[in-house]
This record gives sequence, structure tokens and C-alpha cells, in this order.
Amino acid sequence: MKLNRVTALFLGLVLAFSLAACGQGASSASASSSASSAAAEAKTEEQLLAEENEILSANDALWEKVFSSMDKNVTETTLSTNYGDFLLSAVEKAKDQFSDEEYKTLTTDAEKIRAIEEQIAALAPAEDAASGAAAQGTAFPQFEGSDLEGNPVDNSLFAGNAFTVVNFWFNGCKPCVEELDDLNALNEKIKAQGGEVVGINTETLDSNQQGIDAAKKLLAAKGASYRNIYFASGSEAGKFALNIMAFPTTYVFDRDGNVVGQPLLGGIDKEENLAALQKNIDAALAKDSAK
Amino acid sequence: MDKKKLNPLARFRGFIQAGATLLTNLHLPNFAKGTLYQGSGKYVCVPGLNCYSCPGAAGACPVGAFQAVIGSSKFRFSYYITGILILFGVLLGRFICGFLCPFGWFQELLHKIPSPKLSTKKLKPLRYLKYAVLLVMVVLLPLLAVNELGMGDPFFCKYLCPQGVLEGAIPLSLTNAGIRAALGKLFTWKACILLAVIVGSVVFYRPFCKWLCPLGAFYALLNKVSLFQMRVDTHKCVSCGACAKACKMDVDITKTPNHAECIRCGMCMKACPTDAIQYKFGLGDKSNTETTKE
Repeated sequence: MKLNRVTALFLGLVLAFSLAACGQGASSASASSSASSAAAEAKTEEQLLAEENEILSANDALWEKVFSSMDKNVTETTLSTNYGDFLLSAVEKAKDQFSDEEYKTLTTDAEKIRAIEEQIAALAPAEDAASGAAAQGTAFPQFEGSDLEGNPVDNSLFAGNAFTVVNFWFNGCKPCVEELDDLNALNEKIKAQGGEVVGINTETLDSNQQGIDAAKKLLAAKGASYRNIYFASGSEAGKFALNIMAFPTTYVFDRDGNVVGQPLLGGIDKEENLAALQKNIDAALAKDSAK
Repeated sequence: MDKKKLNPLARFRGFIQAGATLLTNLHLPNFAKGTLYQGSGKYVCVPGLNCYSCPGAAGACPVGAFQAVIGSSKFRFSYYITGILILFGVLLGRFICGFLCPFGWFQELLHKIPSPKLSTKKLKPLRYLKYAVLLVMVVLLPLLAVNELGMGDPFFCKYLCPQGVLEGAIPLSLTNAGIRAALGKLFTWKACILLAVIVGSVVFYRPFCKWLCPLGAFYALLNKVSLFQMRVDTHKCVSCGACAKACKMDVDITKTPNHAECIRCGMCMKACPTDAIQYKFGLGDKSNTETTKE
């Protein structure tokens, strides 16, 4: 009997500890891996920038001339274009100040820099992807579906808006239903900013008529008139929706259909949740206007 | 004592509890992934108290499912889940508490932690609390405290159940940042309940089962009519009282062999010097089992 007790206690402890170990181990491992990959990226970006500076300093005197001839009105657009292109156009403008050979060196330098800039640009979205991956996938999957009235909808939905607030819900979910009127108010408010609220009710997937009818009733009862859409549950978008395990969950997507920030769990009828969502909306707006 | 021929069920109860807990939460990799199994197994209820939102859960919790259905605007009563519960109750009664319930096992393991152990004999009136929890939190509030669309909250799950925190909120929030961010006052409150149950379990034997569990209350109602019963052979019984002393659920089996509180753990069988107590399963003649003491 004593042996039984000891084994039971031991088994219990092992289970408890393995559970704790699993959870902690996984989270700390992912945290450290993301940290290390971020460090690797930062390092390469630094290296690339150093290479650019080397190229420029190799022909210091010539580039000084280019820079002094430049138009000092640096605008948003010049900043966001490739630095290599920017240099090329500057060299082009000041072409008559240089000999053919000098012009050739400058253009090859600028082209090298353009190539490096492209590498750096390629790094940035990869970094976004890494942080977004933690928030279940980076972009909303390709889909073709329709709204509850039967009008076809696909991914072009995102391109039409500066940002899109996507709310996942289902008919039997009380907190989901209770925020429908708040989501409608949000939709009206963000229209002016080029935003839109879109609902995805998991019970309406595969054009399930019963689910659609019930959803329409609930939306009408709550006075919500924003778009609700559905698609096939077997599609990638369907899997995305069905993988969500806490409802309501609200995502903010940018114009390209990429996730902005962490998805919000819980209804926006609570003030702190609305504030969290607003943060994501602000980030999406800032991202869109920077383009 | 160990040499006695003891019913294997009672003898290997700890292993059966461990096995049942494992089977109930079979999807172990989900703990690391922080996701839930959402397949067709979740259309069926497990017999014990086991949170639907446990990453490993293979089925739904009967208490949670019951509240979800009667709290929805579509239905007023869940015949399907009540039917499953009655089936479990009639087949096994509170044998489920003693052998199959993961949260019962959890409390028993905690009770093995060395500490001064306190008797619950004087706290017997608290037993009736669990029927109130069943009636008020599981049935009445989800049914009646509804919004304008007829939707209610699962009050027991939302405000009381410590198993939900232990199996759902804690493992999920460890691996899922979104859920971690969503933890609020409600989580704090229920974590306090869980902590109280944990501390209580160390000093008392199964306090949650005795006083609060609505699922145990439901099975208790069916314990008397369940097919799984205790049988006391009055010819063998020497009325030594060892069984009543050994019973941690405060039942005197010689007086009431099918008491609502009996979880069929078999500790009385182990204590009985004359092997007068046996498990009995099925219909049939009970004349031999009835007590003549009263």
C-alpha cells in the first residue's frame, strides 16, 4: 500500500512538472529563438549599411561633389524610395560636372548601393513575418467567399481599405453578440479613415443556411449593418477561422491583408479592449500613411 | 492488510484514476502548442469534471456543455447532455468521482502531501451546498439571467470552477500571448478559488467534491439507483465500525451502503476485517445486501 502511495504521488508530480516544463520550455525556447534571429538580422543590416558606407568613402571626393549638387528638399517620397535610385538620379542630374569615367564609377557605386538596399528591404518584411507568426500567420489567407446577402467577396476587400478590422464570432457566443452594436459604431466611425469592420461568423462557413439566418437575426437585433462574410471551411481562410479558440477575437489587417499587432481577445464593449484595438488601428493607419 | 484478497478495482484505483485522467486529456502535444483539440470528440461529454478548454481535453465537460446549451437562445433545456448525465449516473453513479474524475484525482494527490489532516465530519451540512451550486449556478442562472436575446452565461464555469483555471487558463496563457493579455479580474478571482481548493485539499479529503461540485451533486442524486452499488454482507459483518472510521467521505456504509456521498473508493473494503463489503454491479437480487441495522 505504501508503494502504491509513493508511485501515485510520484506519477502525479511527474505529470505536474512535465506539464509545467512543457509550457515554460516552449515559451522560453521560442522567446530565445526569436531574440537570436532578431539579433542575426540586426547584425546583417548593420553589416550591409557598413558596406554602403565603404563604397561611398572609396570615391569620397566624387560623391562629395554629387551631394553638394543635390536638391536639399528631401521629401517623404525621396526617403522611402531606394537610396541607390536616389543616388542614381542625383548623379544623373549632376552628370555634366563629371568626366565619362567618373560618371561610370559613380553609377556603378550607386547600383551596388541599390542592390544592398534591396537586400536590406528584404530583411525588414522577414522580421515582420517573424513577429507576426507568433500571432498565428502573417496574412489573411487567399479566399473567395461571399457576404451574408450572397455578394461575392475575396481578398481584394483588404486593398480597398486603409485597414480592415476583422471580428470572428459565432451565434451562441454571448460576449460576441453583445459587442455587435459596438462594432457597428466602430465601423461608422472608421469609415472616414478608410477603415472597415468585417465580421466572420464561424457558423456561417460553407454557406450554412441555418447559421446565416441566425446570424442575420442577431445582427439585425443589435442594429449591426457592417459586412459579414463567409467562405468554405476547408479553405485556408476557413482553417484560419476555425483555428481561433477564443471568441470574440478581433484582428486588424493592413491594406495588403497582413496582421497588424496582436489579435484582441474579448469584446470591445469593454473599454480596455477597445483601447487595445485602437492601438492596432492606429498602427495600421500609421503604416498605411507611411506608404 | 495488503494480503487480503481485495477487489482489483479498489486495489488499483490510483492507476485507474491516472489512466482516466490521461484518456480524458489525450491530446498532450496541444499543451506545448497552446491550442485546443476541436474535433468531433468534443461532441461527446467525458464523465468527470474536465474543462473543455484544457489543451489536452478529448471531450467536453458535461457541466460546461449543459450550461452552454441552456444558456443559448436556441434551447431551453439540453436533453442530449441530461441524457448522457443520467446514463453515466445510472451506470456508475459516484464511482465516476472516485475513479474517473481528473479533478477528484488531483485533490487526492494533493491530500497525499504530508500535513495535519482534518476531519470533515463536523462540516457535513456543507454537503448540501453542492446541490445549490447545481440548481442555481448550473441550471437557474444560465437559464434565467439572460440578455435581451435570451443568451445566458455559464455561471458555474465563469465564476466558480477551479478546474477551468487549472486546465484551461493556466496552460493556455503560458503558451498563448493573446490569452495572457486577456487575463483580468475574473482570472484573479478564480485563481484564488483554485488556490483555496489546493490548500483545502491538502488538509481535507476532496473538499471540492464534498461541498461544491455540481457534477458530483448530480451523480449523488443517482447514486442510490445506479447499477454500481456497495454490498454489505450482514452475515459476515461483525459491527466493528472499522469501515465507518476508514471512510473519508464520512459515510457509515453498514447503515447506508448507497449513500449519496459514497464515491465507491473502496477504503472501507480495505479496512473491513471480515471482507463483508463488496462491489456489486448490475440489477438483480439485493435482498442479501440490504442492511437490517436500522
